[in-house]
This record gives sequence, C-alpha cells and structure tokens, in this order.
Amino acid sequence: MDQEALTGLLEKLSCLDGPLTGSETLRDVLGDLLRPSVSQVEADALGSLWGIRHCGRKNAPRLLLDAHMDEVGLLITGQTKEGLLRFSAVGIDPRILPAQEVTVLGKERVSGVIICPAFEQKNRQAFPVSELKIYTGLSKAELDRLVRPGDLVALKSYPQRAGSGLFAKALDDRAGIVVILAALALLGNTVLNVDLCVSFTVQEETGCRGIIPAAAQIQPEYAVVLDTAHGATADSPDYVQLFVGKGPVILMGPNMDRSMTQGLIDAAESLVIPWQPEVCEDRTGSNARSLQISGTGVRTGFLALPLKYMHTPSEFVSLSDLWNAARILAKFTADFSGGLEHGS
Amino acid sequence: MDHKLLKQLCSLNGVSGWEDDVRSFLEEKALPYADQIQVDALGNLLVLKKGLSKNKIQMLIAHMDESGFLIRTFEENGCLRIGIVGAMDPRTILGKRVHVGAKSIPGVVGLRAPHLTPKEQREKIPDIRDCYLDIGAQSREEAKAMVGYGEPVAFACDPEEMSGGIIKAKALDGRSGCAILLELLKLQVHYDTWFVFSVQGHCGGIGLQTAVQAVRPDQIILLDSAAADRDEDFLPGNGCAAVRMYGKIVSDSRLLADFEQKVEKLNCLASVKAPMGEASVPAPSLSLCIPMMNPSAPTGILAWRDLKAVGKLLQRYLQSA
Repeated sequence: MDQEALTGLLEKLSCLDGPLTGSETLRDVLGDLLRPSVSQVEADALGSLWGIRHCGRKNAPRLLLDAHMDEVGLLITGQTKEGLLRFSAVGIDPRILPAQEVTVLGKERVSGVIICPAFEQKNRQAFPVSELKIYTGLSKAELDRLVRPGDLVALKSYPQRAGSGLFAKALDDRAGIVVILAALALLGNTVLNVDLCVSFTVQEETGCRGIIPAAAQIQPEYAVVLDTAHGATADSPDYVQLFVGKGPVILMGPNMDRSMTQGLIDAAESLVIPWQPEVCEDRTGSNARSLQISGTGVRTGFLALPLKYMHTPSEFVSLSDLWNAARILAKFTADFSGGLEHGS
Repeated sequence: MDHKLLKQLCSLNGVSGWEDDVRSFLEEKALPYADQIQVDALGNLLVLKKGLSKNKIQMLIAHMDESGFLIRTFEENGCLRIGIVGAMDPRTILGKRVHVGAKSIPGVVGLRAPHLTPKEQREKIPDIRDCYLDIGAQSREEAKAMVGYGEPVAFACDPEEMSGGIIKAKALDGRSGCAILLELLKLQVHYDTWFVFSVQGHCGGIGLQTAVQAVRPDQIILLDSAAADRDEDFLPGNGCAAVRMYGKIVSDSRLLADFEQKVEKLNCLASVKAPMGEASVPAPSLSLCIPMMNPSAPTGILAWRDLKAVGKLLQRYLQSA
C-alpha cells in the first residue's frame, strides 16, 4: 500500500453508491476489503459492517476505528402525472441540484437528471426542492414498475484528479474508510496491545445513528473516529481555518477524550507529520457524538481529513493528507495499550 | 440520424468565441458533401449545396457554440473568478464540473458546504461575481501557470443515451441543429442552399447577423432546441414546432405557409427565449425548434424522435420545388 494505491482505492469506493443506508454493493466490496484483517466480518440489521482483530492477550482493551460508509442523498417522495419524480434532499444544499445527474436506486438503477423550471433573468431566488423534479425518460408504466416513494437516490459524479488532490463524490466519508484500510495495511502483522475493531457504519448522514447499535454490539472502551472536516474555500467564513493539503486534523473539545487526542498528536509528532488542530465546543457532527455516550461511555478521539465542498458531487481532498492520516493512525494503533487514567 | 455523431459533437468544448474544435469537426464531416465551403472572418462555417434551380437562395442555420464561462481574475488562494457567457441559468452551475482553459484542465464551480452557509443565504443564488472555480491550484502563481485570462470554461458532461429514446448532454441546444444540418447536407436540394454553422449564437446571434450579409439569402430557416417560454406544453417527444417569436426574430407567415403547403401542418409555439434571436435578419425567416429540458443548464435533454422528425420535415422541404 502506498499513496497511489490509496488513491486508486478511494476513486473506486467513491464511484459506488450508498446514500443514507449504504448499499449491498458497497457492503460486499467493503466486506471483501476488511476480511483479510479481521477474524470475521459481521453485519447488523441496519447494514453496518465490522470485524475484530484479536491480539491474543487475555482481557485486552478494545479499540474501535470507525468511518461511515453512507453518503448524502435524495429520497423519492412521489411522481407527477407527466412521469417526473418528486424528491426530498437529506444533507444536501438544494442549490447544487438543478441540472444535476442522479441515479435512482429503485428496483433497478435508473439514470436521471434533475430538471428545473424555465429561467427568468431577474430571479435570484434558488429553486426550492419542491420545484425540482427528476427526469428519467421512462414511461409512467415503467416508472411505476421500477421506482416507489422512499427509494433512495445518489448523486452521480466521477473522480477527477486536480493538482495534488481529488474531486469526487462521497469522499465524506470514503476518505475515512480508505485511511483505516491503509492503516491496516501499514500495520501488517504487527502484534498489537489491543483487540482492534474496525467498523464501517451506516446512517451517519441521518444523525449519527448506525454507530449506535454497532457500538452497543462491539462494546469498545476506546475509539478513534475517521471523518472529514471543512477545509477553507474561497467563500468560507473567516473562522474556517483548516486547509486541504496542510495535514490531517486532530479535533479537541468535550466530545473527545483528552488522552486519546494527545495520543494522536504524539503519533503525528513522532512521525514529523504536520497536523492541524480544530476545536469543537459541543458535540461534533460525527459518529463521535454517539460513540462517546455508548453504553457506559467510550473514550473517543477524532482524526479528520480536511475537505472542501462537503456534501456536493465534487468534494475535494488532498491525497497526501489521507496518506499522512493513515500513517498517524497506524502509529497510534501500534503504540496504544489502553489503561488510560480517568479524567486524564 | 446518427446517434454517435451528435454525441461526438456534444463532447467537444465550444464556448461562444471559442468554437474552433467544433468547427474543425464539422468542416471535416461536411467536406465530402460541399460544393463550396468557407470559414468567414468571425469563424462561421458556411457550406453551399448547389440546387437544381437557381431561382432562390435558401439558408439554414444552427449555432455551434455553448454557454459557459470566461476566466476573469485569479485569487491569492488559487481560485478563479468567472463571468457567464451566454444564456446559462446561474442556478444550475453550483457544484458542477468544468473543463477550464484551452487545455481543458478539470475544475469545479465551488460552493461552500451547506453547514457553513446561513439559512437565509441558502435560498439565494450567489451573484456570478461571488462564484469561483477551483482547479486544485494552491496559489495565484500556480493557477496562472495553468490557465490564462479570458480563457473559456465549458461544462463537463458526458453525452449519454437515457431510457425512452432520450439523449442527455451539454451544448445540445445548438449542436442538435448542427447534427441535423450535417445530415441534410447529404441531400440533393432543389434550390441553392447555404448550410451555416454559426458562432456566438449565445452572444446575440453574432454569427447569424454577419452570415446573412455574406450569403444574402431569400429565406432563412433557423434550427434550435428550446424550452417553451410560458406554460405551453413542449416536452421532449412532442415533436418540433414552428416558433412565431424566436427571441426577437418573428417568423414570416408566408414562409410558414409555403413550408406547410410543401410539407405538412406544423405545431406552433408562440415564443421561445433565444439569444441568437437578437440578430437582425434582412430576409423572411422561419424558426423551427425541438423541445428540450434544461436548455440553459449543463445537462440538456432531447428526444431522438424529435430530431428525426425535424430532419424529415426539412428534407421534404429542401427537396420540393
């Protein structure tokens, strides 16, 4: 595994569709990727996957590495009499939707384009989602057969390298998944001091939900969440001070355990990898918020990839940030043995 | 109607003023059938097909250009500021992929995440002056080494066949007309006919305006695809329509009557918005449009059936005395 292989894997995973609840295809591919590193791959009722790599020591602490497999998407709400599909958007800024290509995950995959009403020069209002419809070209009869209200819809996009980064959809959080897989590859057969659990969970985008039953079954004592953080863009507010390409992000705040955070920092510093701090005063918008309060509490750290244009079909990350995050994660995991003092 | 040809045409980048690649492609395809072929001062491709009779000079015209952006300035952080060329709905550009500059460098029309956007602003479309392109450059110097001022930016959209006999592509509005003209070039026409593939349709019919001066036709037929202006039903699959007001160009009643008498009764549409229709044409004209969805957006939609239909209508007209 090297940066180039990591990039190829990221491109491949980005092209798979898994809005909100993941998908069978995505689960199959991720299961195959995870299987060599764990004793077995398990799946739960919601569709999350996980596995455990036992270290062989009795009563070894459990460390969970989590990334979510789901991406933002749309939900079909109905059909117009002309055979256009109505929908609602989950986690997506509706302003990117007009003229956007989509894939409706009905009985079969159906290609569609979001069409918008005619354009008046002076109108500066964005189209509300209610005025947008999906055009598929299918007849009403075929549509009735293939698509139903509640069907999920993924944005259609393709990976494109630009500069030292990648434009693609669903980098939130396929980038996190790839970092975990790369860290596992870097760890190789290293003997660990913990039982290492890896989870690829669903329904993060609907409110960090899939992690809840997964964590209840895995019951880790410690966890590191891999997700994405907002990188500054030309139009972002001044307070966004993270930059794509300037290194992985380590989050700090009450949602994160200070020892876990320090452990990630120590790993980065020992490898002389530049990293960026991010402070969050309340619960983070990630699986860390649900993990921290799972069971009697999980001590959670949060390692993030800076990412531009989140929740659009052209999210952007730096490939060196991903590779460096994988190195930090591998080092942290290799060195970690739990036993942290309370309140440290 | 050759599906592959239209898809090839719609894969080319040809923002108004930068139609070169499209023109070269069309020139190569038209050459075997041309009695006369020339490129004029503005870049219009003019192809003459001699007729059996010299009594009339006809002109058929479609535009080669597509709506897009031009690069205006470079920001410190490596992003580009842009301006819109042509009839692009600014509400359809956010988050879309683009090809930037003469070398088609990949880029994106950036939009900060919804999480960072206050609710009131999510209902407004940013002014184009507040929009920007991200080409992955980290600094002004890096960006300037990749692209230059004034270079064109076209949308990236793969032409694709969709269910129900539909094609989805960018630049469909003018290029569909160009594809039809190429087919018609193969015919033996009754009167001398100039097939004009014009530049800058999106900039107010610049190419049309000057081509008519060169050709001096007795009548003009304009070919385009559009969405209905008002509430009229004009959806892909509905077939082509004669449009009374194509932008500011009013179709001539006698020319329409002549067409209908020689071919068949046409559906009529009151008006369509058409930047090419800002030109002044000194000869009677008839505008024929096929229905299109998302005409001012990067992903346009047309029905093959409609293209075939308008091709057949024109074939009968061009071959009749």
